[in-house]
Amino acid sequence: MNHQNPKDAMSDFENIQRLMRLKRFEQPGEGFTEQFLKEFHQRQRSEMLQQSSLHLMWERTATWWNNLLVPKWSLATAAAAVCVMSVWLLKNEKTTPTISTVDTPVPTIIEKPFIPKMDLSELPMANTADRNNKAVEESLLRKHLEIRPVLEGKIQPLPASAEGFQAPIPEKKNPTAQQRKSVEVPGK
Amino acid sequence: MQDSSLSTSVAAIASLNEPIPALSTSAAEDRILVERAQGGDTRAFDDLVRKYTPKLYGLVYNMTSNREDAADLLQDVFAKAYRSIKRFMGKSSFYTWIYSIAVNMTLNFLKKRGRHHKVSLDDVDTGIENDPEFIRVTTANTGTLREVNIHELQKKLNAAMMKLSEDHRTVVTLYDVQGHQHAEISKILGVSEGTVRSRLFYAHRLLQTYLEDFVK
Repeated sequence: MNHQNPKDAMSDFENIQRLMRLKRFEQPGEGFTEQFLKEFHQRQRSEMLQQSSLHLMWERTATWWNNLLVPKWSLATAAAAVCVMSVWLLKNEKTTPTISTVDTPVPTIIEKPFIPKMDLSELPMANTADRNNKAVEESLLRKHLEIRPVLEGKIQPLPASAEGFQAPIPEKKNPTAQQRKSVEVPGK
Repeated sequence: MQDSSLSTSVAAIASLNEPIPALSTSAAEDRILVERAQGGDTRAFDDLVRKYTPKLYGLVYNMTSNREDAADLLQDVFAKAYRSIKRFMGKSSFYTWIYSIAVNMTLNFLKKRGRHHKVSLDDVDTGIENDPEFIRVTTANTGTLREVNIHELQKKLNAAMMKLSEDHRTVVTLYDVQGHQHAEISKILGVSEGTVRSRLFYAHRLLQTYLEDFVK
């Protein structure tokens, strides 16, 4: 049925469709639907009976469980505690190193020189520095105490012309001609 | 048996251009019935069964070509729908939902039955010969009732349908026999419209080969 003309192919397709449409007349008889519904109801009833026995068993189980008088909150708390514990255990398991079965090369041991652990302050050499420092501190303190009473009664204010002290000298500017005259004739 | 009268069958039914009556899928009415059924009103579900039994019977019968299997399967379909009616959220229309259940259950049944099933004469619906609408259509042009060997034609049609793969048979049933649109079929089958059109095209080509004597 290879058609050169697409129109022929289309008409064949339409004919096929028309033929297949004939099948829509294949319908059950008039009383079929009501009879079908009756059978459906019977089936539903039998299913309900089967379900009810199962349901009854379920109810009994649930009642028995409730009669255990286990408070819901304590159950929930216990469940939560179990969850937390299991999570914690799982975490710990993850952190602990696992023994690997892979053959790892044996690490080479590098020999280090033996360094004994001991308190160096106990050594005589170590104490000499401290002793020297203390001696210096003591001598300085002694000198300070000796000098202080001497200074307390004798300290006087130094004169302006004292050695090593120079009063600040104002900056000299070149006097103008009028200033010079006034300087020259102070009696006026 | 190749009667000369058989080849004239298409000519006899050439007047079958009248559109297939639209499915009375009043979604609003269905929604009300579904809500009532979800609330425990069994009568509402009975109304849904009454409404969809003829359509779904046609679907299942044309896919199985066996009346008893069709009736049993339809019981299973409605039982399943009843059990899961409370889970029906209304995202699709009820008829799409129930059709999906019917198609899936029928395909599963056909897989279990296997492809070795052969159409016997017992499978042919004998009631069609007395269907007044069928008689009117088939005698429209010629004016003679028995120019077409109806029984033979029906047998050939069923045999041709059963030669198709299950997917092809489903789209032919939904489109050609039941008059659904491509978009509706794609929703029911859960495939794209392109897939529906493609399956339909190849199914028609195969049917042309199987029904060559009738299409000439």
